[in-house]
Amino acid sequence: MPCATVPLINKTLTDLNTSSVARLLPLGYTDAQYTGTAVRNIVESVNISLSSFYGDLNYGLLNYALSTATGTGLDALVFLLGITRRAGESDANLVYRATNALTVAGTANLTALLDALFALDGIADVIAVPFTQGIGSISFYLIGTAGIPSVTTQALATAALTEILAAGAYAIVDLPNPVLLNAAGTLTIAPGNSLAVGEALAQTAATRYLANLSMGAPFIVTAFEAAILGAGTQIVDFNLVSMSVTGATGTQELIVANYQPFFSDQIQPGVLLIQ
Amino acid sequence: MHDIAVSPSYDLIPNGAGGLTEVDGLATDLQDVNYRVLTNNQDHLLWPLGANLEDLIGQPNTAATGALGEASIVKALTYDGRFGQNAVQVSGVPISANEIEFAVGLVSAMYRTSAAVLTTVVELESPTT
Repeated sequence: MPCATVPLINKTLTDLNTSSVARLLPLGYTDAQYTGTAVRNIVESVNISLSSFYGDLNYGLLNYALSTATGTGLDALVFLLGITRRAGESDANLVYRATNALTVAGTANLTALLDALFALDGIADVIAVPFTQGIGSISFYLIGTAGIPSVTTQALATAALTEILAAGAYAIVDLPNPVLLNAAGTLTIAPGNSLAVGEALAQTAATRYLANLSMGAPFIVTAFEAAILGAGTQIVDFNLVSMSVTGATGTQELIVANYQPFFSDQIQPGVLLIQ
Repeated sequence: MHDIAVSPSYDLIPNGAGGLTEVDGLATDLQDVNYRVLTNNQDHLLWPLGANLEDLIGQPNTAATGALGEASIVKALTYDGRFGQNAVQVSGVPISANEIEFAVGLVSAMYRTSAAVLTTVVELESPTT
């Protein structure tokens, strides 16, 4: 964490004494160059109080900036961001979290989330994999400095992410159990209709539904189902087994209910594999 | 040397004209010697000033104790160059069974002769009866 340069002339006791002697000598008080002399004792007594005053000024000034604040001054500063010091947390870590919160509030980028996890003790690396739970979702894989991160560290990671999400730039994704639509079977086409036409209609309907999801809008499974079923009379039933928004298909990617996409650029449906 | 004057008890001395009395030369040396000899280390907040003569209290009244006090006084006066090693003469003389008197003299070309500027008495241990 780079430390900002604070533009205050902070005078130490040594500075003040040196300055005092330099002023006294030209006035003829030659004995001031030695310690324990009368005039030197007088100015040093004043300088002790003055240096304390300078120290208080400097403390106040240092604590106005996040990059230089410490202790209770730092606590008061980060409280503006809704952040409180955890038990035993160091100043450096608290500054890191506060800086991260500012980043989230200002730019709402993925780096902020990663930084929050990097800041935890016992974390050597963090890998973010998007879309593991569907559109707008992202999974974080924590790599510990000594094997699998402890349960405590995992809890701290969850708390750190929750804290950032609570800042408002992100919303907590409520991921219920994955719901396979119509687990019974495959796309059923009405008698006398083309399977290829039915698949195309379902694909178009699903794509249109996702494309029209605005940022922050909920993904409603029943509405999604209805959109596909309503695409044409040819479609009697279907089973969505795979979905990808990146252009590649993957069987492990499931539609989940009740989550909200966050970024419009993530609402880019790719290949929908419907059977 | 020129300085603001202080009394033997280290009080400032008004000059009657709204200011403070000032001192020059030997008088300045005298009050500096007085302060350093009668100060014990840690009495002074910022500097390791003082001859620590209180450390002698309780010691036997011997030549070794006298030499220790003389060395302490010389060190207190010369440690920062305020007085030169050759400009200081200190002698400790027993004046009773449990007292020793230290006399400090300054030698300089300015004074031409050795000037006794301070004597101080340290009470040592009481003799056993």
